[in-house]
Amino acid sequence: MSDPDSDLIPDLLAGDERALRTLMDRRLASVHRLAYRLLGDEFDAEDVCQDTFLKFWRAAPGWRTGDARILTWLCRVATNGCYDRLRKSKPDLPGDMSEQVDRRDGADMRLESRQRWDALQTAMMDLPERQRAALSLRYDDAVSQKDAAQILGIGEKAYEALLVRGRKALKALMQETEHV
Amino acid sequence: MSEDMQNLFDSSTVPAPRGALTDRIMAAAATQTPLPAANDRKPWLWSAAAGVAATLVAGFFVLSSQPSEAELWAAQADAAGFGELYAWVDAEID
Repeated sequence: MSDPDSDLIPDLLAGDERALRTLMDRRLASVHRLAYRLLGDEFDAEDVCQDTFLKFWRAAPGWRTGDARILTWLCRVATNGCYDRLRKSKPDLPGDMSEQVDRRDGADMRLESRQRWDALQTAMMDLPERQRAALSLRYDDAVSQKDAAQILGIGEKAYEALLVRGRKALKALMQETEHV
Repeated sequence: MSEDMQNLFDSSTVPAPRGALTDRIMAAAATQTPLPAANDRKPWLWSAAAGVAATLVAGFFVLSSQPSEAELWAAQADAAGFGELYAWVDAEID
């Protein structure tokens, strides 16, 4: 199993913080996208990212090359972290999401695209969390079926079925708001 | 349907994390000590402990499989043809 981040492993094993920074330059955005889609809150998503990378940093010396890709490991830990947070607290209602996006630097979204964003995120938050994760892995980051199944801790067939159900449910929800 | 979905997600991308997040994680990482590797936890200690445990277990089985003194006497008595007599010696006397 080839890992595009394998070049960082020797330095990560040695505890080189520069390697951690490089890993974040490469992978933080992906982990953050997944966490944001699952939680619907940018601050919670950032907290999950922090927990995930720190867990990796602490575990890095014991990393065994060939067991999994680093990104797969990160996404799996982040997904589980999101599930834990969702169980502990109710997610924000989607009504607040446009404000969250507006706070960002350069977030000059046109009204139409902002409404589209709101509609998608609202619909996503109405889906069961596993369907949400499956859709985000597939469409936000084009994660392979094999890796996505590994991240979610299920077989490839089960992931495929989850994706089919998620697509169907999301489309139905989006049609209600006439965004598909 | 899949292409529609891809278009939908492409047109509603999640904003990138704020730049400060990387610095925040780096600052937190600086205070964390990486865990020792699983194969780096004094393997000599584990092998020594395993050796001692194996010796104790083997010793127990060797001792428990040794014939007792009574069994040795019985065997000697059988070999000498005095097994019955020896049994009489061992028998309880009313």
